[in-house]
Amino acid sequence: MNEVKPKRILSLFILSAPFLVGWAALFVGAYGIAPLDILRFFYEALFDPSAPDVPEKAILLDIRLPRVVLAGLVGVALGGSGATLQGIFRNPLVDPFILGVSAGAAFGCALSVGFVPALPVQFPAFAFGVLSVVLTFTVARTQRDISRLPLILSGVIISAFFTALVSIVKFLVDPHKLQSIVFWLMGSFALADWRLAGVAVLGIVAGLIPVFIMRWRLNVMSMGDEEAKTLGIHVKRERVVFVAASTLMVSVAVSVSGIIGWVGLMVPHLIRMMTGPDHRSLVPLSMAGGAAFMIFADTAARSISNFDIPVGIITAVIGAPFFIYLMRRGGSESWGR
Amino acid sequence: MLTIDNIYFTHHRGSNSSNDRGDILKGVSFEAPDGQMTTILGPNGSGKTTLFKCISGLWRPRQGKIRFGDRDLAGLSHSERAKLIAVVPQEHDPPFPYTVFDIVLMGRASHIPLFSTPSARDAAATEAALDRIGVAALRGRPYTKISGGERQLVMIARAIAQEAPLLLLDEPTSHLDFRNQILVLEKVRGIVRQRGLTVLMTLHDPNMAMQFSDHVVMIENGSVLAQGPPAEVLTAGNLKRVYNLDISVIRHNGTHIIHPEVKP
Repeated sequence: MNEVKPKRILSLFILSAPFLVGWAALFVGAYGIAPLDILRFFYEALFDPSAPDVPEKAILLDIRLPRVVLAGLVGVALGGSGATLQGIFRNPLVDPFILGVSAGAAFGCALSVGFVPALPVQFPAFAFGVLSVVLTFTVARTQRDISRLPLILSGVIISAFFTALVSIVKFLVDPHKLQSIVFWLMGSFALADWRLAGVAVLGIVAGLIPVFIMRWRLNVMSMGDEEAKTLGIHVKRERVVFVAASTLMVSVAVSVSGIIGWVGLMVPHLIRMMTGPDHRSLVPLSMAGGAAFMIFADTAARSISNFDIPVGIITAVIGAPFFIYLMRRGGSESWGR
Repeated sequence: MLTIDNIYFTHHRGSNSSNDRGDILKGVSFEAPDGQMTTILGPNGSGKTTLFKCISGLWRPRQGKIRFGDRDLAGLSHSERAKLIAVVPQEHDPPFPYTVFDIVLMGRASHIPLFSTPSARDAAATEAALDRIGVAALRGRPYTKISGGERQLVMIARAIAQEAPLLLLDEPTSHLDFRNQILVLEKVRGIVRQRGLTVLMTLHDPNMAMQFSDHVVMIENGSVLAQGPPAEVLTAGNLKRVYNLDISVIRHNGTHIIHPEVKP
């Protein structure tokens, strides 16, 4: 029992990380804002609407804060769905990006931006996100079991397929829209505002709730279909719930921020190393860790250079070497049979 | 009492043609009496695994009934069935290094509502099962880092935590050394006697079956060859027929030792 306490402290730290990182991210930017001023502006915004409007206040409340909130929400979606999908597919090397969900959702968005602007992008994003994960699953499934390497390979195939479809859309769409599609695809929070943050809250919380309340069952399901069934789990039905909820979170995240890869892979791994594989703690801590990492990466993206670098580039630059590290280190632990 | 009544099983895809219309089980009937250890014995490919999958509800027999007490197991949901039958799987390779406690806690799945996590009662049942099997000291260790014998005991503890009256053990000794084979089977027998559980297991070693079962069902090529008390079923004649070996049965201190005649 002597292991319990450090784990609890570590968990509390991880849970508070998004707030600490988010707080720090509010100071960072071309326009310096003092920490105490931030407190004052928050107070005024909440309780004193008659207070004078100053530029710093507008920058904080209308530019930086929604951006931090949006980055945090997308991190919650990516970290939480990564942990969920790794558990469901009993495969530590998958995430929504690798399984093709991100590419499918991106195609849905591009399609809607290019040709059906009247339709909210989240609907086609979710529809094609679901389609892509179903395709990946069907291609990888052989007979009764779904093994690890074929799942990743089929994710690569489905991802490539939808990426190609996105390219067709880019080719056909008018040049004015093309630019925004290209920029958005690289993954960025540069367009963040309160409307986008509101959309993200609705979609991501709707997906997060079922995953959160059923998260213990991921432990049982990760033991394999047959074993989970003999332990009393309705595997097919519960897998549908988990995959649909994860896909909803990811599709909404893609629709507000484009394709941001690797977060869903890295974060659950790091959390598992720190606090163990039990999904009761892994799922919420991956959500918190994802949020903290995403806010950090986005703050780096907008402050490394004078330009607003797409954050997807930052996560890929960190994520690809991490994946290689897992592959080399993991051996049987990552790949298994 | 577990009653297997005239079970037939065929794989759906009959494309890879096997003998006799592809029936793997051909009218298997036997009973596993309450509070006793029943062993299924038979060579590789005789249909033991198929029979187990049918009883545990993973595969559906083409024909026949499986009953436990007066309940037909066919119509049950996975969660209802898990409250009656605890399955101890044979081989184990979880993808994540769960602690022994978390593994045993999974046995509680059928008692935990869909939108909930394990309660204090589930944790207490888990602790009790760990204590009962004598693996409480392993509680915090990763399941991936313990020995094969310990893993088998942990799996049995999980089945105990499940609190089902019927225990299915699929070759519980297959990955264990000599000492651990005895240890595990003694443990199982102790619990069965104490709690009045019903056990159905498969074994490869007829000597183990002789020592540790109350009732033996011998299977050959998808049918039951003989069933009854071990000394009556595990005869030289039956074993010779099933394993195609020269076998003599030696009486020693009131037990029977099965001795294959191996040419030097």
